[in-house]
Amino acid sequence: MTGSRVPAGSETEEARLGLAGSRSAPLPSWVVPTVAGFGSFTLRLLGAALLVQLLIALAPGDAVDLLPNADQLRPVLAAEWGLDRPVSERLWLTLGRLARGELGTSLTYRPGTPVTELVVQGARHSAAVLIPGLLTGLVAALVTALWTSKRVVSGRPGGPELTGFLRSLSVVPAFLAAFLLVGGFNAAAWWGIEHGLIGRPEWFALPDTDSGLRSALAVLLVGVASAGLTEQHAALHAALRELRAAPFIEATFARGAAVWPHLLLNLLPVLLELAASRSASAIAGLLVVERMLLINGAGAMLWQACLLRDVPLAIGLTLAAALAVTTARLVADLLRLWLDPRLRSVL
Amino acid sequence: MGRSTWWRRAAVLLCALGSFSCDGQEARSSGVDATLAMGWIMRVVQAPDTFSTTVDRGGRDAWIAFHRNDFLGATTGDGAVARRAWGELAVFYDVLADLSRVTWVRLGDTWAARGGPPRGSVLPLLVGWAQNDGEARGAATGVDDPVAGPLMNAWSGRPAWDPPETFRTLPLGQRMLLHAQIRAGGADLQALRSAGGQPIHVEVVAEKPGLNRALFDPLLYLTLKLRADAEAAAITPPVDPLETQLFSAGFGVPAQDDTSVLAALGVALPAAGAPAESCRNAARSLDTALDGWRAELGSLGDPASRALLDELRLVEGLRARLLTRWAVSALDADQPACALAYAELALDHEHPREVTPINSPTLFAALASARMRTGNVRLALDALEALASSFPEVLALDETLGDLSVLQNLGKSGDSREN
Amino acid sequence: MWILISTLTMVLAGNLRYAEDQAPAIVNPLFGSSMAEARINELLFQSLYADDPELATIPLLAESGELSPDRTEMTVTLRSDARWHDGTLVTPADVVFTIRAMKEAATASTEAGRVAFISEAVEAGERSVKLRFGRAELRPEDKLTFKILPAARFKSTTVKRTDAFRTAPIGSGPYKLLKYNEDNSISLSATTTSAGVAQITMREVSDKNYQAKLLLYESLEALVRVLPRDLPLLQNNRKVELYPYQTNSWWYLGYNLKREPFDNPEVRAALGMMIDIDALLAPIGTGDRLSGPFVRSSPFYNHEVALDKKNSAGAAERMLQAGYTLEGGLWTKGGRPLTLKVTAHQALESAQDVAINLQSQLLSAGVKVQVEFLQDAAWKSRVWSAREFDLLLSQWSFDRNEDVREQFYSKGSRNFVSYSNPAVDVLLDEARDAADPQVRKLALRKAHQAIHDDRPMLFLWTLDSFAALSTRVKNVLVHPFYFFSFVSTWEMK
Repeated sequence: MTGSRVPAGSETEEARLGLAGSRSAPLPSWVVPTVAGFGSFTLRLLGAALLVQLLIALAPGDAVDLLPNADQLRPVLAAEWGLDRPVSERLWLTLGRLARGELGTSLTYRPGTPVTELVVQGARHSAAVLIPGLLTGLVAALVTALWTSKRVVSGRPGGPELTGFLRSLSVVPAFLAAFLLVGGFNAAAWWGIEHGLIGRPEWFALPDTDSGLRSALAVLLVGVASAGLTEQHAALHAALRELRAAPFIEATFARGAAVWPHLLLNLLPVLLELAASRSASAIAGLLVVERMLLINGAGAMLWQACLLRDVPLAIGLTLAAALAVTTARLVADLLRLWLDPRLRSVL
Repeated sequence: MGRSTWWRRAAVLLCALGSFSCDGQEARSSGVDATLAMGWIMRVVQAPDTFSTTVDRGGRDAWIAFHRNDFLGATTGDGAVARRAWGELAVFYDVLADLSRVTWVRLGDTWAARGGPPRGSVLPLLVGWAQNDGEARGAATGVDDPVAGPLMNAWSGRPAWDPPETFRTLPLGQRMLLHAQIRAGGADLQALRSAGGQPIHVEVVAEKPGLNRALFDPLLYLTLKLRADAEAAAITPPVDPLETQLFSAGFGVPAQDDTSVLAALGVALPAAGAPAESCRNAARSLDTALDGWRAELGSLGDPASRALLDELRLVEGLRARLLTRWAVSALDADQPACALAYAELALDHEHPREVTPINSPTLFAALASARMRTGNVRLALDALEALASSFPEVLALDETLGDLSVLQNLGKSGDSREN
Repeated sequence: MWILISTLTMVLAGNLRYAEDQAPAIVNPLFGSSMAEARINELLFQSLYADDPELATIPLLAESGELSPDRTEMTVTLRSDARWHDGTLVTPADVVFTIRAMKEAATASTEAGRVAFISEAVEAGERSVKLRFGRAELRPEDKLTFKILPAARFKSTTVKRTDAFRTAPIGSGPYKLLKYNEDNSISLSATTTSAGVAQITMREVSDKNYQAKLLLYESLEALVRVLPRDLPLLQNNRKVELYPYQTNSWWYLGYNLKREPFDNPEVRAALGMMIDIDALLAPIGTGDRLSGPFVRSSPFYNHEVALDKKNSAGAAERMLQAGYTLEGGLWTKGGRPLTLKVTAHQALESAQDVAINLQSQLLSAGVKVQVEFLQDAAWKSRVWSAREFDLLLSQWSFDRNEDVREQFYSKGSRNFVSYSNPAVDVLLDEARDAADPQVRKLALRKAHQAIHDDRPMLFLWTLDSFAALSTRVKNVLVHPFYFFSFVSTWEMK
């Protein structure tokens, strides 16, 4: 995936790389990009983890400060938790621990609990929201983009209006949307309960009770709020307009065959790209959504870990998030490669 | 969806979309209770002119003061309102007197548990004085203190007591003389109220020479109570029943006492010795009955009637006064936990530290007494604080109760938390 | 059949759900650092002595105690029927272990100070423990209120936060831990079938606005601290009742006396005169103004000390005396306008409203103000440790002893403002060592006067402080500081 348009193995390529006459055992074409890819992958993970540690170290106060008699306890705990060393040394020690696969134990969030256990628990809850959220956002954006692009292409009214409506809906920040939805559902349900119209729903009251409705709201907010739907719709709308104007689509239409299979197939790379690029912002959005809806996911946990200066836990969660984003990127790229032969030829 | 219910579903949907507050309210009971319809509140609300006439008869300002629970201010009125105000003051001071007695006794017991009071202190004398009430039974006998002893031993507390001249020069003697004069009706009540905030005796603290211990009057409130009783009795009872019932703790239903009215409302007062939870249940039953009735009254057609009801908070005031009366009765029956339940439920938390038309001085006194007698001496001081600005004589009790609180917690290390 | 009846009884006896802003980080009394942890420890663990419902100290795990004539030793005999949640007996070894673990430096217990008065603890028989004190103690049982732990669950007296005990804490309290739930809630179940409340669930609800709403919606049964602005709403709801809780608390504006210009008493006096404290209080709730470090109802409050009032002319005079001049509407010295920073804890309810109002008032009076809100770790570091602030906006809550020594003694551990007055130190020592309540009372009243006059803080107010419980919970008795101490009397159907 170097981006070069010159096929590997050509004379010009070999001459450019100075390989003419020196070939004895040529490397397969996938080796360098793969190694470079994994190297970049690892660096991103470690970089994210170290950045989090550095930021927490630079923030005022540490884990010992949270305790009532911190001054008395500092000599013992600072040594135990490694907080008495310079920041650079702490970063280096972290690298060493991560290289050995040791994430350590939580200092202040759940003292003594292995970070792995907490990360897995949080990631499980977050994944249950994140993946459906991404899919929901994509599907919603696709459906609306199909409609609006068709309206624009055919010159019929409604497209721009729906686009405007989506923008105004989606631009609502996630925390505000969550606040309004939770308040609205609760108020309405309570009114119905008090007036004997309905029994007490299983999900009542939000967001305290773990329920399908709470999960659905979380999924909706991750997929749609904070301009998520707007961005995805805009990208798909533009892609669909371009596709609808493509000669092969016109030809298919002229033959009287169904157009949508071709549209969707050609949209897949765009969808994959969108999913990959949205994953980072969706994961960031989890932090707000989980806090507002009291979901004990990785986002809410990371928030608490930072507040409580729980460095090992914060590093573990950041690694998990970076892993998720990078994996999403990797999977999307690989699928795109598989779907689009033109990209393979570029390699 | 049926036509009759579509608007309800739509309202639910609107609530969901608009997220305006749709917090549910208690379902309203149907029908004004026939019993309460004959009570004084209904009579006042249905005939505002009669109310005005009644109020003007005794002095509008005095009735306004009485409504605001400013009992002292209301005593300046004529006739019924003054009699009622003196009666309320008598109840108020009675509660304080009882609290004072219990406080002094407990102070003595606490000192005893710590090995006895400071050497040479007259505190035991005052404890004995409080315990014996100083009136009918005479003072504690066999007192050793050369100064206070003879005085205490000679105290009779009866009106027209005429102590020897030597005693009149001592602060303790002067106070005792004033007590006797007040009870005989020969001195102004205000004199004792003003003096009440001053210590009755000052002695040197043995642990720290140069430091004085101020001891306050244990009989202050009993004397004030007796005088208030006498003042009330001296006023001719009113003829108009409304003057007796207006802003009272009773329902004022003709030919029915309040117990039967409560029974009709489904409120059963617990038997003596019942746990505090039974008392809370009784209060909750009262709330259920009065809330429904209040909701019905709110739909009255006449704006003047509604204004009277809303601005004077007639039902809320009745509730608070009724609960306060129950609290006082529970204290008299030595059921402080019950009294505490009633008093806590009576308190208006919108103004929890002031005397208002809902929070009477008697309520705060009952709250203080109930808290103290259930062991929470420190919290009792919170309730007394609300009375400090209107009743400077409360300072005496406040200081004594404070001494008890401090004594109980001497030597203990404290805990403090931020935020 | 008996098991069925017992189970049914427990099921019918209800699940009481209460909310905390933040779930306890660790359930181990050795490492408690928040009131949320203190409250859950009240449910799970017991001490040798405790408060009874009348707040008198009574034996709990202890059966009796005998003090030596010289008051330097006490022999405590344990109850023969005191058991841990796993059924084993509570033994003297457990008491000795607990004290030693708390004193052990390597344990780094947050509760180490509570056993500082005990120099040695040894087993003295099958059911007895002998405690030796560093000095004569008048009523040592009043101090034996720390929680006891089972020695058999630990390897040594060096207890670590990572020890497995935290995952399955065993106590002797009226409730045992059922499970940690994945939503951060903690479920506890009663240890006896006759308990009035079969199960208690602690729920983490970080938003106090949500907490009140959940109580109204009957998704919770108890709120530990009600926001002042929610009091009228809750009191009008007949399904909820209010109980006073943690009422000895006051807000203050503390000056950093180690920094210019706050080391200048004229400047401090002037700043105090620029502020209308009643106007700051009005929007956030009902309460009482204060002139010193006690609430007005306290026996230590000196009522002869007048409340601070806004006095613009007086403030101007003081600022001039301090060498400031008014230029362009701002007080200026050496060419620099007076700018100060107000630091508040983010978790302090209503602090934002107060801080913004304060900022506005001081700007009108000619002082520029910046406001910052710190989270817990930053607060502890900047305020408790480094003392890096100009003005602090904060609140202290005290138990019924109202011990302000640590806040105002020169070497007090909570004396963030760096206040130092040897005369006040003498008064605080006198109060601490007093055997006569009059001595203590008068010493602290003098301290109140002196502290007010020195102005290390501007004392603001005390707010009305209540807990709220659903009426479905019966026989409620709330400990004024620890909340759940009398939960055994509660009932819930």
